[in-house]
Amino acid sequence: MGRWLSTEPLDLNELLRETEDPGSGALVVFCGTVRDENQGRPVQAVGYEAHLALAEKALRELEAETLRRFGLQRCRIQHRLGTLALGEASVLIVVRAAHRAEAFAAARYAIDELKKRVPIWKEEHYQGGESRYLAGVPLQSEEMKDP
Amino acid sequence: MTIKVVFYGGLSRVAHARSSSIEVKRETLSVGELRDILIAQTPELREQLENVAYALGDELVAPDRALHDGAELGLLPPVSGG
Repeated sequence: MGRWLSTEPLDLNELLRETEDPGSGALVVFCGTVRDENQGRPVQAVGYEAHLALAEKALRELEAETLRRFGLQRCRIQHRLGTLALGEASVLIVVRAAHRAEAFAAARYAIDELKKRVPIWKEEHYQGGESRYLAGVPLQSEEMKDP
Repeated sequence: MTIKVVFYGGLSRVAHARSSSIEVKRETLSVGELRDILIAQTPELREQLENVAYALGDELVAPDRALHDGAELGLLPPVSGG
């Protein structure tokens, strides 16, 4: 299991242990889970794939940036890869901060940014063996961003 | 030169492959020029490649980046993690 990406089920307890911090008065966890429908269509399972090198780098940078930006004590992000059954966790964000306001804001920021900048793709599997990749958000390269 | 192109996400469906080896008889080649070659070979890719990002190693690169013989170029369609 990698630090940011895993083909094994995500382990919230492990992340909670890893981020234990007596200086934090707030702990916020965001967990994304596989829903049983999308736009009215029943979903049976979901597959996630990534560009591994870039996704690891993007998650590492997003963790560090979220920590800095919100003055957090701890921030950890993990994303699952492979085929997930309904209800399984696809992403975990664990944030610890002195107070709740920055903890809530940071968790929200991390998941919103993850969806925009981490090269991971979701494929929904439906009844009868059909499947579809979801429309996503275009990535921008550093070279193409405005200075 | 030979460039290995890797199709990520839904691009692999349109390209009908996970990856493809492209041989080009040229001394220099940019990412954007390779994209034009891919579109010429597989016109169905045209629309998809409008929104694609390009990866060399663990770096996202712009279309004017030069490619070297043996490079592996990742084509990354819009992302949908989370």
